Amino acid sequence: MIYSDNERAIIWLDSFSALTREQKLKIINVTKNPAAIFENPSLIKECADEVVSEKFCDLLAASKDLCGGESAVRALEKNGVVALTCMSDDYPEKLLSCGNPPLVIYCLGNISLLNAEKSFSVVGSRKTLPEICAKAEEFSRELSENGVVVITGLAEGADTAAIKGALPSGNVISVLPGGFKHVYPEYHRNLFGKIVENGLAVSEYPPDTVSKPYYFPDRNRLLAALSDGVLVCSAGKKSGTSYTADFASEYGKNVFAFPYTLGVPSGEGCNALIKEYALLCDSVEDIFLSLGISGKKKADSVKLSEEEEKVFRCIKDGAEHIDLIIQKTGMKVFELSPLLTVLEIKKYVVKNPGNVYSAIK
Amino acid sequence: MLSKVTGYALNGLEGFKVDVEVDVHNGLPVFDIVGLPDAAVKESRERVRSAIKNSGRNFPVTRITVNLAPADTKKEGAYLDLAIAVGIVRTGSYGFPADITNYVLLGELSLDGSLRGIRGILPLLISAADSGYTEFIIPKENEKEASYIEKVNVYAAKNLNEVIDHLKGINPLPVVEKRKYRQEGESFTYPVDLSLVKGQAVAKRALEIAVSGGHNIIFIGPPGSGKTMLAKCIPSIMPDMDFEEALETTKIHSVAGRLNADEGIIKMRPFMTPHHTATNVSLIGGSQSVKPGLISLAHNGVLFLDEMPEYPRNTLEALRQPLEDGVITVSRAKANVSFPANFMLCGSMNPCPCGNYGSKKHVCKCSQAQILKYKSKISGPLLDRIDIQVEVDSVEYSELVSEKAEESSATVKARVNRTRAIQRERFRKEPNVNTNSDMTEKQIKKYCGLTSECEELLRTAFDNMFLSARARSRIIKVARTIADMDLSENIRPSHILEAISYRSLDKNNI
Repeated sequence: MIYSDNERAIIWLDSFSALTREQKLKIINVTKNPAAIFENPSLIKECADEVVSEKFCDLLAASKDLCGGESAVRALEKNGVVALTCMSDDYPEKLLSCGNPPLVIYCLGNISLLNAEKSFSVVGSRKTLPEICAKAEEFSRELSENGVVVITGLAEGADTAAIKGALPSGNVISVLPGGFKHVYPEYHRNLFGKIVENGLAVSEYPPDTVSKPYYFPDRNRLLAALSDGVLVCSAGKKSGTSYTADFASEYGKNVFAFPYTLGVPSGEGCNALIKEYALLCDSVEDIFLSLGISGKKKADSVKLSEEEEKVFRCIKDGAEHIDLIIQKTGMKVFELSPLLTVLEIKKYVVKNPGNVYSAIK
Repeated sequence: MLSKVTGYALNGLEGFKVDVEVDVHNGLPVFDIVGLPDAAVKESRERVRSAIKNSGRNFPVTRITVNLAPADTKKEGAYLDLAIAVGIVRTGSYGFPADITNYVLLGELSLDGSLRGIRGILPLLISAADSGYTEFIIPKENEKEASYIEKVNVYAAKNLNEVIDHLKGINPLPVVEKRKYRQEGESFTYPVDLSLVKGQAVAKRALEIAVSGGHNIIFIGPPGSGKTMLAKCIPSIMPDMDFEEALETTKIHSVAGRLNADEGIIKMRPFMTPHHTATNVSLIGGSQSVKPGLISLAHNGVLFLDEMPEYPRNTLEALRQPLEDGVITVSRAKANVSFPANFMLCGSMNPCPCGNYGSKKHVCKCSQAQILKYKSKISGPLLDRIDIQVEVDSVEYSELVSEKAEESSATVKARVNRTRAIQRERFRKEPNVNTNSDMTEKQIKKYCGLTSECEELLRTAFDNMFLSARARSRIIKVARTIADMDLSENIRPSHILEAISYRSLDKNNI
């Protein structure tokens, strides 16, 4: 990746974590042409006012990396990270729609995904029910197979499910609330590797940044800005996922949410969103319609045998606990267990802890 | 005047002969015991002195030297009291036969001269009988324990005087009557029965498979879901122990001093539940005197680890080798002893630290990192040795009070016996393999041929359910057992499918 002098200057400036976004923006605006700082370091001193303190300006002017931002760029190249600055040509336009676009976004993976025609966020809380996770995965698969780039985070639960669904087709972007060197959560490092390999990971923080709790709302803003719409799979009462939805509606994008029955803690936020402004979503066609594409839902190729059908009906009718299924079908447990496993393999049901099965078709 | 008597002492599960030599000669009144006695043996001086006096006999007021040969082996415990006392009495008394070393004398003395029971009578007697001894005098308390050993004459005495009178031939003791291990029409009643467990059809089925194929099992479920109750039922559906097994188990319990004197032999399979604060040594065996640990006491029975992730990591890891070999070798500076430890491992755990993970009614308060940490406390290699992982659910109130008849342990046991017989027949020519769970990779290939349909099924299952690769051979082993229960020669797809459903801990996310 070859960066212009201005790009280098912005990358260099962005590597100072002590400066806020506003301060960096101020410096860029004052200098107009940030590359000029490399020529004439004293230029920074002119920026000194109530936004950027004099102390900071002195610090920047004394930076060893002043000759063309060499080491900041080298650090990126060493890790294969591509930086897109607000002065780059391929900076995604979608980001400009949000009030405070990041100065630089750092990308790792298939960078062309950023310019995809259609992109859609599938997000949810960490404690998403298994059957909802299965749904999220299914939706994400349908979307990605029809050329829509699925954008999500990296947390467990709905985010992971969305990634799982979209990974095979490669149409997946994961937006991180920290630098690539400090993947959060740590135990998703493997998953992160797969995303980098097949899809794209994006962050507005330089690779060395350790993620902090207050980075998450900023990350959600990015998620909402990058996508053409948001599907909220699950959200608790005080869920960060609602922030994503709020940002999206603020940017004028469609927000969808799964409906929940009463008394499901991980669905209270979703129902609240539907009450306010979100669109109720119970089929992937709803999303296709809003994106203006004629997505093809693959017909179910797997057929169920008569007995499998019988058990599946039972589960669908609300007999979810295995003891209830036994009672209703009159089968023995050793006859039932294989059938349930088949249904699980064929993705008709998911197993919840405690021998409870939920239908997902 | 010199007198020789034969005693026996314990080293691990084996007894060894101790020649007790007593010499009484002129000099200042001193009573010395030489030949590496431990504290309990040394203290026997006081017990022996008082016991002899209080039995109305003379204690020689001269120099007494007792030698315990072999001199270089440490002797522990109070088994030698009787031998020493008889040796001393014999030096100053008439009427004894010229040689009484054909008798093995065992017993601890009380100050009033009566005999107390000792631990380890069974292994001591078996070892002595193996080296050709036929005459034994033991405390009355241990009578029952000794009655199962054949081809020996055991005399049970209440006190020192009875022993001396018997040896002198004045008032011979009767030979302890032999007892048969299995009485006609005898049936065991275990404290818990499977019919008391309401509902839990999946867990019960898994339990039956586990016992039938000798698989280790772990129950995963919220608190109060009946995991412990289910585990306690395991001995009641295991096949009855044969005499050899019972003798081996009794030996260990006898050495540990945990034998019920009224029974004399352990007929029911042991069920051991160590608390998770148990130390390594108490579980594995060891301590100064190299005693068997709980895993050896669970030999031929069940070791139940409740709340398995709460056990310290090193304690759990220490179980790996005995789980593989069925034997634990305890090595200490003083001794190196092997104890059998062939047990069925049964564990239980919650789905997460708070226990509500995945519940629709309750909110789980644990973070994913906490849950992962909790689960990772049971290491992969240990989990590898647990073939069946089954989920137990909280029982609804309506089920607790339901009158629906549940299968009794006896019915299940009959089926287990049948399945075990099939396995015995199959592995007749394979040494060290008794059940399906003992199979090695090679034997799995030999005995568990899969049809192409089954292979295909396994592959789809692995792709779709994100099973880990190490689960494969476990699934096949369990499928083999299910096929045996089904009286099917070949493993059918339904068997594989059922086996897959018992791998709930294996499903990794991605």
